[in-house]
Amino acid sequence: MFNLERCKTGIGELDSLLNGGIPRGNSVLISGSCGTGKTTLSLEFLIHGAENGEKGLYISATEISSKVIKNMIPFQFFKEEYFDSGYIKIMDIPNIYSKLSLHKLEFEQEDIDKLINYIGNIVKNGDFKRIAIDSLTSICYRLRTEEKIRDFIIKFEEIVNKIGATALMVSELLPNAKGYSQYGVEEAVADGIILLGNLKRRGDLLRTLQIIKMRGTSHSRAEYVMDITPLGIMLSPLLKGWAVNQ
Amino acid sequence: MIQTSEIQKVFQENDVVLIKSSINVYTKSILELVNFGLENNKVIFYISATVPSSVFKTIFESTGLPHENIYFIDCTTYSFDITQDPNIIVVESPTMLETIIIKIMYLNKISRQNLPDKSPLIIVDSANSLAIHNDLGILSEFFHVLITMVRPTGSKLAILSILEQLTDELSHTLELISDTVLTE
Repeated sequence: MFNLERCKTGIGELDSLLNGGIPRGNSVLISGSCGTGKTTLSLEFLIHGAENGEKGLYISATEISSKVIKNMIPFQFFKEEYFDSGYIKIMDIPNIYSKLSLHKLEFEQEDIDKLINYIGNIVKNGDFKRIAIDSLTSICYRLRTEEKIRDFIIKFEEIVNKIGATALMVSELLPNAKGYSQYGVEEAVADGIILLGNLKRRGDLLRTLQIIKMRGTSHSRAEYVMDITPLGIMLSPLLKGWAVNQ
Repeated sequence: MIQTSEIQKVFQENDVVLIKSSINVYTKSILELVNFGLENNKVIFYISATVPSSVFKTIFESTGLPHENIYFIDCTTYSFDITQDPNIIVVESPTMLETIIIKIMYLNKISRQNLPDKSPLIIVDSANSLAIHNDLGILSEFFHVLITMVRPTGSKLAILSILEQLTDELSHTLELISDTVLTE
């Protein structure tokens, strides 16, 4: 069980906490409220993959592709050629909806199938080994019911697993939200959950990271402080001196 | 005043040195420490929690110390970013101890890339200042994590303290985590 092939995120400390990386084929929820670093983590995962010859697909619902790329320029690992050459492909969700004539506010089963098939074909034909959906929550808005959300995620996970890719699915949380996803279904179905948070301590707002679950590997369950540096995401153990009563 | 030769001797046998310096010669002790680092092919990570990094840069410049290989982690200014100086990294508050740890990790990676022949000398200035802002429990935890992190990298750590302002409790904690103590 623990000898599964790993997909290294390229974030050194995170790979150590995951005992070598995300088990290949897993679809992992990246949960957190605004400003916790979900998009940065997803893009860093794709760029480090490209460095190692793995093609990446970024499905964006929150920002237009030009803005996504622009925000990554300050990072030392950023290489525009990955995006220019299509080695990392960015697709805007509104464009996908428009292409598939999905204009309804609530998708029917056939719309879900259409969307899944479309994404599946892109992934297979493009030979993408790393996928990031940013965000899954925005797709879930159109699915509405737990059954449809479950169905969408399970079908997506099947595609990912079948082709030996690894996926990150961004889950947007409200500050102080309980649980790890907006609808509750996402966290039950996902293979893994990495929770990003904001910890307020004596007026300081610290970014935190904690692995809640990860199928197919032993992993850390401790909370870490996360910082976004020009070299990308870095982690330090959370000092507990002030938090003993929390 | 602590001499460069004394510092050299203790760092030959130890990785973590607590330096207790009198307030009268504190700046001179720092200059000796920095001089030791530069003479021994080290890159210096200077955590300034007492005096802003800009002040030390000026002092180093006026004394003729080459400062290209001195990187500051400045947590005195309560500002997010005050400078475009590539040798200064600002940490918003001395209470953000984990962020200080990450900045050291970051500088370590950068220096391994750019200055592979130089090993880091990390200077914490000072334990007294950090103790003003942090509870002793979290401060000793900070030093424990820092020491665990720096030992395998071959880095040296100098913890500066002002002798006259050291409480017994803080002094005892610092002695416990250090390999040796150098007193002025």
